[in-house]
Amino acid sequence: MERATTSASSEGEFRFKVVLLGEGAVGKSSLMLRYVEDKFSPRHVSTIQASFLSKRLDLGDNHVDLDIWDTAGQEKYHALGPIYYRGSHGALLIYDITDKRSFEKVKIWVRELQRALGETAVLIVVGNKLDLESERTVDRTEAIQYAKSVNAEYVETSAKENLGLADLFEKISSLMIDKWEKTREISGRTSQNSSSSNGSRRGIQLVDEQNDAAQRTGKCCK
Amino acid sequence: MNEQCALHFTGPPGSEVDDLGFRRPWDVKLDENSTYFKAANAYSEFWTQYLPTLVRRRKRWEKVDPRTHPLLMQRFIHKGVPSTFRKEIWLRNCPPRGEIPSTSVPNLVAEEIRLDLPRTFPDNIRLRNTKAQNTVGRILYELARFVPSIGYCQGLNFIAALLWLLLENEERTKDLLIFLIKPRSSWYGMDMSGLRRDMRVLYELLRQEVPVICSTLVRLDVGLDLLLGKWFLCWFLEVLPMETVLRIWDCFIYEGDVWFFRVAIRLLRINSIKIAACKTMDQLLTTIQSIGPSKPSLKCHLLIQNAMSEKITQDQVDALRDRFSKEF
Repeated sequence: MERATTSASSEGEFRFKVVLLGEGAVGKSSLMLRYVEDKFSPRHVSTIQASFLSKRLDLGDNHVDLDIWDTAGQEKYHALGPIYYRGSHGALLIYDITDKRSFEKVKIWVRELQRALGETAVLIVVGNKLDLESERTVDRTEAIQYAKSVNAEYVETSAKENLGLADLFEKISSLMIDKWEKTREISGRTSQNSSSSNGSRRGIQLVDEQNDAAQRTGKCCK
Repeated sequence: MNEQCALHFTGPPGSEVDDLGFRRPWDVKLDENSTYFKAANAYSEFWTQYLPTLVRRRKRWEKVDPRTHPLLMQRFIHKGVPSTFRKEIWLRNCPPRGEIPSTSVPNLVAEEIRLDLPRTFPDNIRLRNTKAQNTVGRILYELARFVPSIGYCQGLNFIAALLWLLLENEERTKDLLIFLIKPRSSWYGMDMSGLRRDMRVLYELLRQEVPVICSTLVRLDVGLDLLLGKWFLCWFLEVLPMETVLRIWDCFIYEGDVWFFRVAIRLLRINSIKIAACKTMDQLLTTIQSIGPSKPSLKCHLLIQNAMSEKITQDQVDALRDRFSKEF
């Protein structure tokens, strides 16, 4: 199981990795672009492999740097999958409210993430394309119930109309902070701070570069 | 994200649309506050420097005709194939694709292709209509028939579309696409094992050539497949500016995929100080993503010349592939 590695560097400063997953053309890239750069283009381009943007936000006294990973929708890229969501603190599982199949795909992703990350990451199921409400085929109540059943939150958005995005990223950020603080309490009790144990793990890796590189390549690539 | 640079447009700064149908992404009159201001200036500057090279190369090709001497041909190709000759040179060694196999294409594959057609170069005026999009669709469908182990892989849509825009012939585009993709089918197959193997090969070459890159990767605990997979999958399309992509493809189609390694190593070498200075994974990712729209990426003539001085051979790459193939 992969462990989340980043956390708080000093009081109130956080850095989290968030990964966007979901079927092709549900609006993952649009959602990221709208939130980070406040842009929306009606001319969508399919994403190859993955792209990355970061964004800083303030939540009360806390400052959060989000590293947001946008991924290609095609199933094939799952072969490279673990390298995207490795170490993620949060995941947005996005579907298109007018496309039932994309909702089913979310369920597959949830299982995969729970297998790979256990309970370490915050999950939010996101119904996108709220601007197409009249064409909706995925029932809202059903989606909420599903999210609850897998311990995930549920949010609906429209990247096109810029609906719900700020709330979505604030929500996932505060949930990640909560989770991190809970982990710290637990690790404080067992007197083993997770960040320091990770640090030493990295230190060991640095000793033998070549050997490690070979192992690491092997690991990322299964 | 790359819209702040002329990722696709290859025409003179004063023209609206280039020969391939890509629109200039900015207006002629730009004010200083425009997000494109810097990019437009960088492009105009590049173009002014590059135009004499283009004119000179075209004259040389017309006068000398390198096609009769293999060594001359190699040198001429490295210096750039003039656009008027490109069609013919790219198709020069390409055989017809042969008998249609009896395999059928699964519905899911056809569906995946269909989904990407309107999302392939939407800034290209020739691809805006359904007829053209369907042509690209048929080209991808033909590839799926001939190479069932791939079916369809996102990224191939861009390669197929660019080949068609350039060759302007559906049947020959199918031939060339299949000819170029087939030897690399394991890059695009279900487990992308060929791509992962080649990233291992690149890592090994970097260990000798630019070791600081490898130590940075180890320090930040990140693999090359995550950082550079896209460079190889799309043959630098959607990463580097189009003119640079065309120049790389000139060399790749004539000499082999050693060119992907040469260009990758050169780009990483140019940026090695910046890369080594990265303290966190996000800094590294941002640095890698900034290579595409950077000035050395735009200056294609110099980049190819420098990539040539990377002393890596196709034999060396193939030997390393053999060595690592067991691991993947």
